[in-house]
Amino acid sequence: MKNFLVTETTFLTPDIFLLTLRAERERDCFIHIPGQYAAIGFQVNGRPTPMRCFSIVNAPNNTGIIQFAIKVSGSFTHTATYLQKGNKVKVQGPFGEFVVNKQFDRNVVMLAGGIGITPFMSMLRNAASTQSPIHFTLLYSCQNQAAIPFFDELIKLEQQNQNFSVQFYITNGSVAAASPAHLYEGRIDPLAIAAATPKHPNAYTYFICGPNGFMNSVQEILRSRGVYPDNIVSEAFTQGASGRAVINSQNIPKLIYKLTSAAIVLGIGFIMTLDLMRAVPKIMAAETTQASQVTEVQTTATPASTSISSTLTPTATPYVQNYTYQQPVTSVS
Amino acid sequence: MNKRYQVAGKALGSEVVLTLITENSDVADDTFKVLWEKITHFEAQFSRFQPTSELSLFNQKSGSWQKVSSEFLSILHCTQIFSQETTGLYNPFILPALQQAGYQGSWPHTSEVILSTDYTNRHIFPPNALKIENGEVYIPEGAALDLGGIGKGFLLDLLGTYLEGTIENYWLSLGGDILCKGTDINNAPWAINVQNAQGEILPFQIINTNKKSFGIATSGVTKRKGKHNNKAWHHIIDPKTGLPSETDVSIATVCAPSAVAADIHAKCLVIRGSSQAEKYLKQHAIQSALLQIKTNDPSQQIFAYGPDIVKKI
Repeated sequence: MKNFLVTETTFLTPDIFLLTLRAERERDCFIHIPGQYAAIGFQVNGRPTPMRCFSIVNAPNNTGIIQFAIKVSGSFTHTATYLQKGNKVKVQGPFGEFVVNKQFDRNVVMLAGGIGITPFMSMLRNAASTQSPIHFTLLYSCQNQAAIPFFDELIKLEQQNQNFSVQFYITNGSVAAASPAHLYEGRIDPLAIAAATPKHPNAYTYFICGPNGFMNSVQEILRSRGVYPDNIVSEAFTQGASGRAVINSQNIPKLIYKLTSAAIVLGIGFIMTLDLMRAVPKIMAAETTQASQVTEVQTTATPASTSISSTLTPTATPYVQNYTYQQPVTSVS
Repeated sequence: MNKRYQVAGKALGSEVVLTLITENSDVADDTFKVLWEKITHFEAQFSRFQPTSELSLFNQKSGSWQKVSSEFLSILHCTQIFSQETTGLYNPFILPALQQAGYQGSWPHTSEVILSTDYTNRHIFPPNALKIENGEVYIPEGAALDLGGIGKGFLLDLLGTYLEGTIENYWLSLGGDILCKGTDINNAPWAINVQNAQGEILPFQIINTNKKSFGIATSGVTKRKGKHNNKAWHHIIDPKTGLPSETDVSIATVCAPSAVAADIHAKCLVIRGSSQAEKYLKQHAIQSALLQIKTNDPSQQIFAYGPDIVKKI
């Protein structure tokens, strides 16, 4: 458990406020991965509150500062609005796998609903400050124009980062006539997603965060577009007494211990099974055909850089191994 | 130490060559098997020459809403996107015109016609006749879809997606359409040769130093052609006329961030002809292209565009 102090609380919209915390000591600092969340708790009348989880909205830094954008929607969040500069806050984390994999995720489509924007803010701020080559497209659904937190900042981020574009969808109200071109009336529908993903649908990784209804509707659209489940990363976002939003601080070390143990046991079991599955057919094939002797071939049948190294196992596949390297040639197909 | 592994075989009516750079022969072996499985599965699912393919069964029930597989949906969405992007120059409904022109059986056995896949009595429809709603697809009665113009590029991108995270350096060729990523074993960028109509290598190469994967496709009127009812035909149909396109571009090669984009734009460039080529390339932000043009002026026979086209010294 890390100790932080409140440095500021600011309202971004009528019901969303920004809570800024600073690590009390150097050893309390941590660096999160953009998209992760942390659990926070504080004392009310001398008694500790339960820990509640919120996405970290600032980019990772080593200054010991973390920020959360919190929607006021229950007693915990309502009480949190009374936090004042210097109040102590316990922080546990960071947690979560809702993070961009820099190696695999080249084109990221972010689908945010309401307060579900928070993990994306950390990702986008980090992308802008590190000049990330990853392409981000944000489709952000909000009830009305006044309820959009970070509106100006998102527009500015789009101007700063040529690899980022944003569109806002207003579901329950009209768009002011003098609004920027990024604002649309209505929900995020199949056409909006199709327009945002001009390559084939599986060329993108889709990150979804928002209320359950929003997530279900977007996931259905993606499924109907033929997007593979592996290309969809989602985070249920419910602030309140349900879902992952509440953590009993007493149980956190136990929980981590149990999960780690289970993961180690499962991991070892999985690797052993995998090894067995790969080894057994090869041993059997070697015994029955005596033809699967692995050979290493180095041929230089054609000059300069046309040799090919190979230790492929002979198989009954409909293709043949090329021992002389064939150069890539594009021709009329 | 990294080694180069390569296999070749026949699929999709053309030669397939797969090349991987990896340290581990088991990884190469396993990867080749999976790639080949995906290729043969795709062919069985989307070949218009196989009467039992999902595409043929779908075409047979035109005029009704049909539930299709997620792979089929994905490729149909892709056809919609590129039809819009090329303002109808790419049209997935050209199959009847293709067959009426003479391209009926699986190439090169063009005389082999299977009645259940014969659509010569159907018509070309505009691309927006394809409707997709709630995972179901509709094409009008009398229409027939052909994925020939998009299939190889789409499949290459799918294979590339599968390789992400396991193999970082490779090139895959499906009948001359190529998807590349990374470098060769000597860390040099892949250098792709380009063939002319006679099968000779041109003195130009495509060299892309970008670390990301990229697609290269070549399309032209010099293959998959013939004579039907004493009229010459080739397989690049101009959707506006419904006939083999009358063009001075014999072969177009396009380099693009995805193989499917390269595939579509190469065909569209052939249809547009050399006079409209530069405008088309700029309009669609195509990074590089090489056109082989039918003209008596030797200085105008090759049009090289973009940074990836390098003249061999």
